Amino acid sequence: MTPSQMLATAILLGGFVAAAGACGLLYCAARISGHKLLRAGGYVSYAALCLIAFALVAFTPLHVGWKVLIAASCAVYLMIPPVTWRYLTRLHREEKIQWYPTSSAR
Amino acid sequence: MYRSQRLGLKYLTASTVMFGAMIAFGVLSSIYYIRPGFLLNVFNFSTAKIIHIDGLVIWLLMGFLGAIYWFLPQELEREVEGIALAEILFWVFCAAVAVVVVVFLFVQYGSATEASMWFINQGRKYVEAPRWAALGIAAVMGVFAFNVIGTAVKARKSTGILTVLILDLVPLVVLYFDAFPEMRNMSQDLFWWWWLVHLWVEATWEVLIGCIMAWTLIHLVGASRRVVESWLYVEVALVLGTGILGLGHHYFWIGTPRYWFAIGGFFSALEPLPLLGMVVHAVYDAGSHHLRAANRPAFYWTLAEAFGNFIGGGVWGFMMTLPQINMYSHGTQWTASHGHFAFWGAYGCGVIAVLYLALEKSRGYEGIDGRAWKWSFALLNIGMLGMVGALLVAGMDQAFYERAIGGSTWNAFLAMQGRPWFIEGMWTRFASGLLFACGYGILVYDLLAARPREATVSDSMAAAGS
Repeated sequence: MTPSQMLATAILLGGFVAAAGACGLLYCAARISGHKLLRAGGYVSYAALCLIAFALVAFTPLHVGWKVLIAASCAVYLMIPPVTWRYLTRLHREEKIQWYPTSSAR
Repeated sequence: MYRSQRLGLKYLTASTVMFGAMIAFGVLSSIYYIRPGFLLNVFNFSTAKIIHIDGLVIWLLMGFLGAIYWFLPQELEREVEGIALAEILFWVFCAAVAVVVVVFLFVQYGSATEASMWFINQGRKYVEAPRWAALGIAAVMGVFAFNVIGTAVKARKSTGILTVLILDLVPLVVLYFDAFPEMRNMSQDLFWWWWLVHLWVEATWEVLIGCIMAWTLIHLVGASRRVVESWLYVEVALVLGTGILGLGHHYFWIGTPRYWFAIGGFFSALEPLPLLGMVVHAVYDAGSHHLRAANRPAFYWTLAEAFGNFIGGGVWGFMMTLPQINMYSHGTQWTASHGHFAFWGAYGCGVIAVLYLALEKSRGYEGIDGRAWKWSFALLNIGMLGMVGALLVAGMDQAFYERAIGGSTWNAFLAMQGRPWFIEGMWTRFASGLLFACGYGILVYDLLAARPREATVSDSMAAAGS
């Protein structure tokens, strides 16, 4: 790995997690507000995440194992926001049913 | 108010004072980088840095103790067991910290003897306090563990959060004993020393702050205990699952076997995953409360904690954690950038949120708002962003020229000190540090002068709606 490749790879790795964060943030913000622009922002962030992952896999001298990990992380980052959201929603719903059984039965 | 809560307030006050001391010595340390002859033969850079970093550990530790002494009696609806001993040890702790700082300021270092280790400096990075003071800290932690466990046993009651906290106290106290052994082999010494530093910061402290934030959410926005506890279990499992073996990402240049690089890289690469989950949780909670809470500063500092932890720990950490990068970035200003951001996000913001929450309850206010907290929030966070940005640029420059091109030689190190990007980075860090210090000043002013929040029309409408 040359010095320039080291810096480029590090910046891409940082961008990779930042894009995952933006994706999660915009996904949740879109779910709360129902705003189409936020949802589109979420898709764009995920597209950026995939592009960065592709660049890391195709153009950087990272070892194969790390490239596999990055590709797998790319898929996992897509799942975390909706899975967490569903989990939180379910927890809150069960909480309401436990405390207000009659009103929820209606 | 319980006696334990009064003790909690004392700890939080002491924590705020130590926060100020840490900032003062941080700004002082940053001057040496731009004026290398600063205080030459009067006050060493290394001593200023020791007080800065040890001050960080102590202000956070005091903040955690304060938060737990504040929440614990509310949780168990009774006074804390052994509170008289805890009150005495608080003053012992403060006196010990003051004596150690005075020794660091005026004695600074001694000869390589047992006496120096006992009375001046233990010589182990981040836990430099002389041995007598280190034993005192161990005693404080032991009594703290007794307070928590003893109260739960006496109350014959435990909650999910408290159980997690009690389980966490065991490694928290035991790992501190790792500060004491004397090893002649440097590799072995550093190998075990990282167990203390890493496993405190990226395992036991993470769980501790998780418990504190869980209580904060319950008391701040009335979050459901069941929801908070369920989420805490998931978070703790993920944080410990990825954090413990992430230890290997420190094992560079100290003579540890190569397999640690892969282990450390792999597990620390997974560390951003639970942090992303925390961001989702924060947005969910913020959204369900429409970004409104009676105690606005505590609410916004809680949000800052989730985002700061993700960006400082997750983004900044992942940038440099894989072995091919880490071997160059390790120990540069790049690491300092990550350290500043991660500590601020994961712990600093959380402790400030608790400060505001305790302030509101102790003064009997129905919420807190105003202008000062917004200024301190903005200045502290902008100052921190300025510092970590400057350190990142300087650190990348250092990894590039000094490490990768220069081969980490003494000449490369000296040449690095004169490089424009490094110098500009150090100036920007100093200026941002001053901004951060201004934010701290306003924070202290706001904590002293905070006023209750006035009910607004939107509040009345919200109340009518609910």
